[in-house]
Amino acid sequence: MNTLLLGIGFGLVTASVLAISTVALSLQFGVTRVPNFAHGELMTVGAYAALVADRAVHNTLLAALAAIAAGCVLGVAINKLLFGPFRRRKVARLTLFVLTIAASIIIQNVVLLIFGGSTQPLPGGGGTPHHLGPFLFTTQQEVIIVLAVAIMAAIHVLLKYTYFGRAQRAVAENLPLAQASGINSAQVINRTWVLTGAMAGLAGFVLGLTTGGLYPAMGFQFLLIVFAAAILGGIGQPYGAMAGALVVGVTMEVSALYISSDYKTVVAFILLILALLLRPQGLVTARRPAAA
Amino acid sequence: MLQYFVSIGTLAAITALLTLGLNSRWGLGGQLDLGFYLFVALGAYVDGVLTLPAASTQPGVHYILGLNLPFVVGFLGAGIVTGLLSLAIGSVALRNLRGDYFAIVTVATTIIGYTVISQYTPLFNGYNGLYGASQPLEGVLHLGPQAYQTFYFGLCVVILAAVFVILELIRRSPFGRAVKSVREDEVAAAAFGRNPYRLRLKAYVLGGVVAGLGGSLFMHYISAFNPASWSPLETFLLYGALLVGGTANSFGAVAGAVIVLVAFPQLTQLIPAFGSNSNAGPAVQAIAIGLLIIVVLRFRPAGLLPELKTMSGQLRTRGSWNWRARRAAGSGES
Repeated sequence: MNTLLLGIGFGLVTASVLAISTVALSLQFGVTRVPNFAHGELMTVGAYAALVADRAVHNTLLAALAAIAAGCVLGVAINKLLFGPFRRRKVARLTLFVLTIAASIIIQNVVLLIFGGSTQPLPGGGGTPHHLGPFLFTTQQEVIIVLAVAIMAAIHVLLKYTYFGRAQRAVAENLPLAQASGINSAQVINRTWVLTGAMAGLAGFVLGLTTGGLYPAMGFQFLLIVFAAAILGGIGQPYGAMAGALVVGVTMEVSALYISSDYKTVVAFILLILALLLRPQGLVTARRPAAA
Repeated sequence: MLQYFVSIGTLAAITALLTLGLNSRWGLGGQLDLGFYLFVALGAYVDGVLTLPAASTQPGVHYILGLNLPFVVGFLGAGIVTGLLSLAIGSVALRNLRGDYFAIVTVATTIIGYTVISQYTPLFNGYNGLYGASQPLEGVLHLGPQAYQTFYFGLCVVILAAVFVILELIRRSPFGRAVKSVREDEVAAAAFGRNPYRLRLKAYVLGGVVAGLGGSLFMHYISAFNPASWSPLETFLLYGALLVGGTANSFGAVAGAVIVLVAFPQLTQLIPAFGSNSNAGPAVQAIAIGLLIIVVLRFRPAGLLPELKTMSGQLRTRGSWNWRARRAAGSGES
């Protein structure tokens, strides 16, 4: 029982990292309708930007800000430079998906070229764990969990109560109708990329902190777990993404107690496949009129 | 110098075979399968365990079977096993999933397969993999190492040519046109009485069989296979070759494989290495392939050798190529 609770504790940490990244992926999918295969690279670049900043100024907070800034810049770059030239011509969604795959390969290998393939630890990781109720956390892990919850709350407020949030939901729901209603959809889409790029960059930074090291394929390998969580929750649905992240994160870590932890990702992918086959609409479905 | 070209030529022939297999799935069937390389790897492993002697002869080495069978059995066995796996995965995934969701599931399946093959030692010797693969027919021919390389190059080219002709015949057959009609417009194809799921599944299994055959040739080319020698990412490089060469065009697939995956990397090797970074070569190559995919999609979306979609391309199937129609006509006369 005690070990099970410990496993759930680890699961909450993984779920927190996962939630930040998954909500970003889901929001971004909502407005572009393209599963972004380069989302993992937003995380990788964020993590490496944090590493560079931390080496320069030795400050974890500034490192986190560097991760966020790098994610923003790269997100906008993908939107403007990669998708931009294709948006004017009507291209198939699958073509855009292949484009993000190409972007993912390029960015991953640019990182490999600059930083090399070896694992590099992010300063500020680790720390001694202490008891918190039945769980065992380091202070840093507690900060990450609180951070994730705060971001989820902020996203909720943003989507529900701000003009940008309402416009964002309108574009995600029905692009032509949103445009006809006077919403500047190009601007909304670009701002969504800024927001989700920032979240992905930050997620890369906390991923680097919790797993202890950065390597060029870190985001790419984490990406499929993010997809698992997003699809489990119903892709394009931020609230579903939160639920999906929690389920996948906790299941992965709890499974590591019973079978070899090498199979952790396998468990996540089996969940993904089951989710797609059994409940393709996701855990949380939008309340929409039957006609939609 | 000649040996160099023979070695590169063998690699080109095998790579072209793999690209043709991918073309059956993506070009013909229109399914974005990101797990293609799992079938190539499985083909190599299955061929290995069929042709290698039993594992118990070496200490610390574990793998299933080890039947010491001739190359032909390993080659065909690889195709059969990967075909059956394609049938199993395809019958679940293709029935339920479309487009990008299907693609994501195929990546997930590949990574599950990669993890299990690497971690579960009794299957294919885990991380150490299989090594010491036989040289097909060398026991009969006794050619010696240099002449044997040339022979193996010839063998790969002959197999490539055979597979190429078979795939072209299939593409030009009524079945091939039906698969393409599903790719172009599923609803219209279904309205004309086609079963989109069954047609896609057939194209998917066809690609899987070719992948397994290619994996088998690859096994005997490099004589060893382990998780370090393949990665799920390899599939993306094959897509690069296919998109550049010309999706759904067999000549394009071969041309793309030779240009993008063989000639291009050989040329990038001429670029002096950046400092002490040993990853520079593969990294520059991957970046170049990524850029190539984007540029081709932007400026020449159909590839260097686009698919023939005109009736003149279709009409040729009514002539001597279409054996089924000819046989039907022949039986009518007799």
